[in-house]
Formats: sequence, structure tokens, C-alpha cells
Amino acid sequence: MSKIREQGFTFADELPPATDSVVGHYVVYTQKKEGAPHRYAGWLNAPDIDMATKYACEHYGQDESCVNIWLHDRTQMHETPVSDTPLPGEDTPDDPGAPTWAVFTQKRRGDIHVEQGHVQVADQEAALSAAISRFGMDMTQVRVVPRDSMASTEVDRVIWRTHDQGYRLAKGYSKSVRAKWDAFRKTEDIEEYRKDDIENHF
Amino acid sequence: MSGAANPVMNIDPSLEDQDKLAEFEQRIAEGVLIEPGDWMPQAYRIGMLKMAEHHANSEIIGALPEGEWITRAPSLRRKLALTAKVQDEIGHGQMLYRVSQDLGKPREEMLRDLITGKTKYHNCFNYPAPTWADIAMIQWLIDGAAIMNQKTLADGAFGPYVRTMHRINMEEAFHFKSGEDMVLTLMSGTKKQKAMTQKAFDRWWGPSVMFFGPHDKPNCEQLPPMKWRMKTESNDSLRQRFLNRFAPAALDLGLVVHVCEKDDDGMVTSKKVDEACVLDDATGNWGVTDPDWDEFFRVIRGNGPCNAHRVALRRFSYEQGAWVRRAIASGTSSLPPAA
Repeated sequence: MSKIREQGFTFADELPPATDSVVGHYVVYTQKKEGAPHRYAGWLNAPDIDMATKYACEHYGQDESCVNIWLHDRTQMHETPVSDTPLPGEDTPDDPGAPTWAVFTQKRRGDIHVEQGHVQVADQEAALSAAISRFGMDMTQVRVVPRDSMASTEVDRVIWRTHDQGYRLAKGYSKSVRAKWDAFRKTEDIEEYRKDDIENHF
Repeated sequence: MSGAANPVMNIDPSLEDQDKLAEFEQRIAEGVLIEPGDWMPQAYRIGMLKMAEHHANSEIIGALPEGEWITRAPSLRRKLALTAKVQDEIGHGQMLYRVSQDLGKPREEMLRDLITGKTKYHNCFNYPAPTWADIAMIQWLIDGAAIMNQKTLADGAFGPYVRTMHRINMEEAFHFKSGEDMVLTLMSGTKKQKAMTQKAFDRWWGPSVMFFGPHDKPNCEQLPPMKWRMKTESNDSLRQRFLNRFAPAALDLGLVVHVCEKDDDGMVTSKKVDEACVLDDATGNWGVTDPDWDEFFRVIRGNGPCNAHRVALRRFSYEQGAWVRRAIASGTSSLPPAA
């Protein structure tokens, strides 16, 4: 054990002053494979979007295999209220000179938001309306984010390490664990025990 | 490792707008998930916040006993795995603090409340881990119990917490499998390894049985935490499922289930075979001697073997990291404090 962990701690009566943190809230999406949609991973606090990108690579990028990460400040997203009835929206044709808006949708309550495509229109109101019209069928929520406010990891930057990471995945142990159980237990007992395993892992 | 979300909740639904409350409860009964923009009773918001914050605290504190063993792991692969696991646990804490932030409590306040004892974390992290076999037992029994609990929490009603549970559970699957592999390896090993594993099992079996919290009130399904699907299964039901899975597995491995007495440091001073730990053929359920609930409440009140050390180490880290937070948040630099 390190000496720091073994020491007897002594502290002042009061805690030091709270850090006066002025930080943004950044929403993170990860892309598992080239060409796959970006999917909501979570959000994080950071002082700016560059720091947020680095932090997202270490946190969400190391949780699961992924090739790209998108981020945006939470204040940049515009979304419909979560609705259990069809969302109303009128399409507006894309205007090549207008800003591009990334579109994300939530299929059911509790689902994560998934990238559906983009619309190219003048403002957020038109963007939401066009996004609902084109991508909102049977969705509970539609979200648009101006593409130029989003940060992306650099092309070809390795996020998920390429060496064997079997040691940090459940499937990296499955065969060895099963072989060892076979020496101790009957097959039917192992199968019964395994019913509580989580089957779907990254 | 993760914390079961069983903090004490004092929720009074009579203080809510009764019409909106009825509509809310109808939606919950229909299985509708609640998203942050939806109306929710204030008591629900406070209850969910307590639950998520308690869970986040447990993840952060839970990493401490395992972190102590990274430098002493018996092989490079085990060291890599343990490092990744500790990193995961801190990440889980981060995600759960974000759920809590969305429910209205600033992150800094949560970190400070944890180290001043205003908020709690899971009891099981107040026990010592003096050998490598304790790390194996934590990952097998405590993570196994956590998965059982968190799988039911993923069926809860609050969207952000449910999403976070799904993400966390995927990583818990690795933690559990890694622990299972460690226990199996030790119990396939030398006499010394088996003896060390039995001693660790004796230390962790009791806290594992207590993991799900005290016995339920008779009408727990009608009380807000379950009625509002903040949790979806009772403590006793989860405990029974845990016993049915782990008691026969432990016995097949050659381990003996003991009822133990411990000293103030959490070390076993005497033990006897738990005669109640047998299969009831009529019900199909495994039995166990009821845990020492006085010990459970004594530890909750801060008088467990490791409470003071765990909180002190967290406070030490918080104070040592203040200059980094200041530098990142304000762009000003300063020197770190002396270690």
C-alpha cells in the first residue's frame, strides 16, 4: 500500500473554499463504426469544448469501441418536448446557403438519442420542423444541433486502443471461467447460475 | 463494484398537487418512463436525487479498497484488469453525479457533502480488504450483488437513471466475470490459496447478505420508492435471489458458509458453520442465518471498521485536487499542496 494511503490524516476544521467552477455542460455522442450513426453516450462538465473533447475520449471513448466522438454545448441543442403523440412538423426544402443542423431522435422514452441525418435551413424553428417532418415519424423526441457548433474528434485519431483489451471486457473471461467451473460443478448447475449473467455487453 | 441504491427516504406524497400526482402515478403504472422535462412530484425528484447521489458516492468510495491493490496485483493481466475496473468505477460515479446534477444538486456540493458525512455511501465499503482474495471476493460477491440490484434498477421509471444503469451494467459484467475468474483460480490453487480465499469469504459473506438492506416493511410495494418504480424489487426478494445463486456456487467451490463474529477492525474472531444455509426443497430457496442488523446500523452511523479511513482518504484527494480544479476552471495556475 502506498505511504499516502497508510498515513493518519489530519485536516483543518473547515473544508477549503469550494472551487468557483464556471464550466459548460457538453453532450457526447459516440460512433461505433465508420458510417454508423452517432449515439448519445452522456454528458460532462468542462471549461471549454477542447477540454471536453479530450475528456470525452478518455471517459466515453474508453468505455466501448468507437471511431469518432461528437460533442456540443448543451445550450446549442433545441428539441421538442417528449411526446407520446405524433409530433407536428412541416418540411422546408434544404437551402444550400443555410446552416446545417444535425438531427437526433429518441424512439421511445428512456431510449438514447440517435443521429438520423441533417437538415439545411435558416433557423432553429425551421430546423426542428423539417427534422420532425423528415425523421420524426413515431419518435418521442426530436433534437437539432447546429453542425458548426459541434466538435468532432480528429479523423483517424485512435480512441479505442488497438491492443488486446480482453482483460477489460466480460467476454475476455467467458471461456476461462466456464472451463474452471466445469471442474467444480455439474453442467445444469452452471447453466442455472449463469441465468443472472448480463449477456449483452459492449 | 457499485452501491445498491437503498438510502433512507422520507417521502410524503400528501404534500403534492393531487391531480398531477394521480396522472403521474397512472403513467408510472402504465410503465411510462419519466424524462427530466416531465412533471414529477417534488418528493420523487428528491427521492431520485438521494438515490442517484448515494449510488454515485458508493462508486467513488468503492474504488478505494480496490485501488489499494493495483500495485500488488499478482500478474500484469490482473493489474491491467484492476486498473481498468477502478477507472470504470470512478466513471460510474461521474455519470451518476451527472444524473444527480440534472435533478438539481451542484456537483461540488455533492463532493463536499460526502466528505463531511452529510451524505452516505454503501455500507459494504467500510470493511477491510487485507488480502488479494478479498479483492476477488469483492468482485465476485459484491459486484454480483450489485448487478442483481442494478438490473432491477434498469427497469425503473426515471429515464436518465435507467440509461445510466444500462451503461454501467455493461461494465459491471466485466467486473463480475473478472472476480469470478479470480475466485475460481484461487480455489483451483494451493492449500494456502484456498485457505486465504476461505478467510476472505468469511469476511465478505456477511456484508454481501446485508448488501440489499434491512428487511422490507410489510407494505413496501405500496410505498413511494416501489410504487413510483424508483426501485422495482424488494430488498428481501433480491437477497433471496442472491442466496439462491451464490450459496450453492460457494459450497460447490469447496467454501464453507460460516456465521462469524468480528472485532472492531472487521477481522473474524470466531466462526461456526451456518446450519441454516441449506436448500429448502419445498420452496426451492436457500436459507441463511439472519445477519447482525445491529452491525449494519452501527456501520451506517459511521462506526464501521473503515468508515473514518475511507472518508479521510476521499477528503485528502479532494483537498489535494483543489489546485487542479481551480486551474482548469479559471485558467489560473498554482503549485500543488505538499503531499
